[in-house]
Amino acid sequence: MAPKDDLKKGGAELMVLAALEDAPRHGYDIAREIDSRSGGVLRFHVASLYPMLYRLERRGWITGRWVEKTGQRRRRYYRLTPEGRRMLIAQRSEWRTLIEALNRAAGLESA
Amino acid sequence: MSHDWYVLVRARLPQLPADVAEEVAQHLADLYAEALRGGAKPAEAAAAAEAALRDEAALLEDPRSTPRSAASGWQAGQSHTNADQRGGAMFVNLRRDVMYALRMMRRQPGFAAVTILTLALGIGVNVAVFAVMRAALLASIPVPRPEQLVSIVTWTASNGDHTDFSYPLYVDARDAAAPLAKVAAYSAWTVGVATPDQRERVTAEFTTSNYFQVLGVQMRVGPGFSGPDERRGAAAVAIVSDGLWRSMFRSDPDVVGRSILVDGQAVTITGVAPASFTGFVRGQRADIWIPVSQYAPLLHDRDLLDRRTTSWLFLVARLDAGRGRDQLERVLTNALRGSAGAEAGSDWAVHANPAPQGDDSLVADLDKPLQLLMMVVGLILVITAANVANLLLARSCSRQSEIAIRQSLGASRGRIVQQLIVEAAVLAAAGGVSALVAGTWVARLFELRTIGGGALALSVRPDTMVVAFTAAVVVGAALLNGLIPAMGVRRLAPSEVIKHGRDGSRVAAGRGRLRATLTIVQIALSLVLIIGSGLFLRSLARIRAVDPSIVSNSRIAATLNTTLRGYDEARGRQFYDRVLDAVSRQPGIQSAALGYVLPATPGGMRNNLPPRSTTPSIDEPLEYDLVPVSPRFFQTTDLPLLAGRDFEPSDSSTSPPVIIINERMRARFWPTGDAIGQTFRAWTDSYTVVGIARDTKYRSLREKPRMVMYLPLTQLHRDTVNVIVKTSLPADATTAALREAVRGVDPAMPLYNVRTFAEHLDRALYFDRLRARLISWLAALALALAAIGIYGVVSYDVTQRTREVGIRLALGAQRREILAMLLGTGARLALVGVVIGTVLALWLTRGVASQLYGITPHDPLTLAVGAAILFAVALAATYIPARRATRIDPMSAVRSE
Repeated sequence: MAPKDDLKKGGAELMVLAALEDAPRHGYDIAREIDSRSGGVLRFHVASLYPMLYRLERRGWITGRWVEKTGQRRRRYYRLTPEGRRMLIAQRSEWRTLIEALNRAAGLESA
Repeated sequence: MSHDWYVLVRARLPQLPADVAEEVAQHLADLYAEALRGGAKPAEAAAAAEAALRDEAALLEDPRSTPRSAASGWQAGQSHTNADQRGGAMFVNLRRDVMYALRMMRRQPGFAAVTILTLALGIGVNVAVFAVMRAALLASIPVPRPEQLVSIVTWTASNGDHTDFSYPLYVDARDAAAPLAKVAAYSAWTVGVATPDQRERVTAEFTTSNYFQVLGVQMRVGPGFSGPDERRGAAAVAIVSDGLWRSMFRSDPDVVGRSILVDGQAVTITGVAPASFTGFVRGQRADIWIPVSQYAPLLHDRDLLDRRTTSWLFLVARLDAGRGRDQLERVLTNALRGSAGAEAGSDWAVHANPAPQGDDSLVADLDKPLQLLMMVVGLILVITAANVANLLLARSCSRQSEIAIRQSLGASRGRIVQQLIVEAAVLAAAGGVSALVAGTWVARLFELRTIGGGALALSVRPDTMVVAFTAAVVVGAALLNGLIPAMGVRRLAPSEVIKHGRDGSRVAAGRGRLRATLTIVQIALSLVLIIGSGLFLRSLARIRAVDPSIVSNSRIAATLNTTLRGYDEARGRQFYDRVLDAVSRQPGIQSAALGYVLPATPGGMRNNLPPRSTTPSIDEPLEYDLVPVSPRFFQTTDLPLLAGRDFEPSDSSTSPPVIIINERMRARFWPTGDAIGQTFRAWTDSYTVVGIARDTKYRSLREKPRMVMYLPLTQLHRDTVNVIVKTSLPADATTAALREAVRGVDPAMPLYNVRTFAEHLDRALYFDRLRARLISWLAALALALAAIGIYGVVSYDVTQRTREVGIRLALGAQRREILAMLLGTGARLALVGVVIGTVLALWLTRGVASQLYGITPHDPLTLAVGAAILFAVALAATYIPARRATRIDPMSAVRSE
């Protein structure tokens, strides 16, 4: 199996979950959050982001709700479900294991 | 807002659901606004926002309505697959998976070694049995167009096929068949061949001069036979095998024209057969071929070629292209009906049986034992596969976090299953290659014998069929081994793994059930094999116990053939007297006798009589055996005479004919009265009954009681007899004494087939012993595999329950209770397996009922012992890990979670 695509995909999911950890956000906000947190290295396209949001929602990890604010178009805000939160914790730990393993295996930490 | 992004999105992606479109439009609006805020001109900002719709097609795959696996295709690279791309991706994945599997093997060499070895074992026994089966039964003989070859036999409704022909009848058949087919004849005999510096005993085929031409075999060296070689009085010629050419002539290219002694007669070599050709008879390696006309001089039997009454040749024919067997059968039946003489009745016919595999008379008996073995090794393969699947499953448990990561990373179930199957396939392929090498090697060691005890010469080699068979088995094993652990993976919904943590108990329980099922399968199949081997062992024991007088190491027999020295009857009689006398005088010989046949030996003489052709008269057709023996035969073989007297030297060729009959014959002809002194008549022959011998087994240990009549050898001379001695000396000393005695009478008379009765019986029981032994070995192998399986499952169970055990211990549970609890796990598995196995065995062993003796497949003792053995092994395999569990320190076990 090629871990590369999985990595990208799973990493993206993890980042979306992480972006929603502290506050509900709408799609554009999520993209911006990830963009800024990663210092611009990781960037989402519309075509990538929304299908993923729906996928995570369908799995029950996040829920979306339309919110209307006066004078603005309504926006769909996403928040973590309790399961999504557990998932985030679990994925973080799996990723930590993986990254440590990667570090050891690939000698990423040269220092 | 200067742009209506919603209208744009709806226009570009009309299929997108409205609320999704709205959300995407909002996103574009945000992008646009931000770009403006960053100082872009409106046109640039709009272009940037529009550019975000680049991968618009992906958006069309509304994730809410598509299955998750398809949704995983949304990212660049793997998106929008059409069938072609999917195929390409699969191929790329396949390569990656193979590389990955190889890497895993390198990383866990121990695991890989155990798995490959187990698979090699399971596949190897299958390859070995198949290779033997192919060599013995399936492969065509190495000649061009073997499908054109037929064996010509005569057939009667009452006796079935009759395979031998006299030479004159062969000539009739050859000439009658000429418009349709070419017919050749052959017959095998053991001869001594000698060059000035070497001598050997080899199998000779006496053939018609067209034999090689009919079979389509080209000489490797020399011209071979020509037509005139078959003419009487032609100079003696021979073709030698490639093997003999190498061993006796050191591959001399100028061998043609050289001379070789065959049973003392000089013959000139006219050809060397190719290495691939060892004769038409399957399982027999012919080393020299001599024209039939020169068989007569060898046997001092000059009118053999003219006698219609002596049938000694077998016929092979090659049909001309486009000719059918039925045409040939019709022509030959019409042509030979007259010349076949008295045999020809209305139910008489000539059959042309397909013979692409050659003459199968020596190997035909092998088909049932080999089919049975094939079944047995098939079961072993399933057990092995279950074991390896269990190993892979155990490893996939320890690789759970890896698989969980990959699943949560979005790897589809299909990809993971594919990868597990590829891993299993790589292992199975490695096992298969080892199996192919080891299996054919083992198969070559596997010495098969004919029912008569002669070793079969089979060329076992890994040809395309064997390789194809191995490949098929490998694919089967890979699927089994890959799919079973994959079933475990399918239960791993990512959320479940995460929810329950790395050792999620539901997941573990699912795996545990799967592993338990695999173990039950192993136990059940092992039990089938154990019961099978039990049945065959008990059957063998019953056969051996049939008549203890037959099974003896203190009786030794050897064969004498007076025709080998060209004796006529008078000289033969004289020779027998002198040999008996000389043997009796050897030290240690308690008693010596001659007998035409030994007990429990196929062959011999038999009379078939119509109803009312005897006195006393019987209203049914009769069949009885005739056994010519010398005086003291009964004493020497420990076969008691129940009444009357033994034959005596005074019962000579000139004195009134006397017979000794067995119990069964007495009971049939004189059911009430005393038979001694009575007269027995059959046709014109008339005998006085002088003794009654106890029944024994005559042709086979499995036979039903037969009627047997013993006659003095003096009154029914045979040119081949067995000399039998009862001895107090070890077998080799006795053998030496026997040889010395015979040498004293005629130094050149060969004495062969020297063996004790026990050895003779073992030969007669060759198939029974082979079968019982092989099945026992294989059953032991299966049992060992099942034990490993149980051990693995219980060990795993124990590890899973370490915490529980710790808590129980901490709460004051007795270690004995813990042990009992864990033993219960193994016992439950064993019980279920034993029940299923017993039912399966009852069902499967019905098929071997005909191969058993004195025992039914439902023999309760065998079933009970088999179940008990399996249960005991299961408990032992449970006990070791269970005991380890009771030794754990409760506190650390509880803390460890």
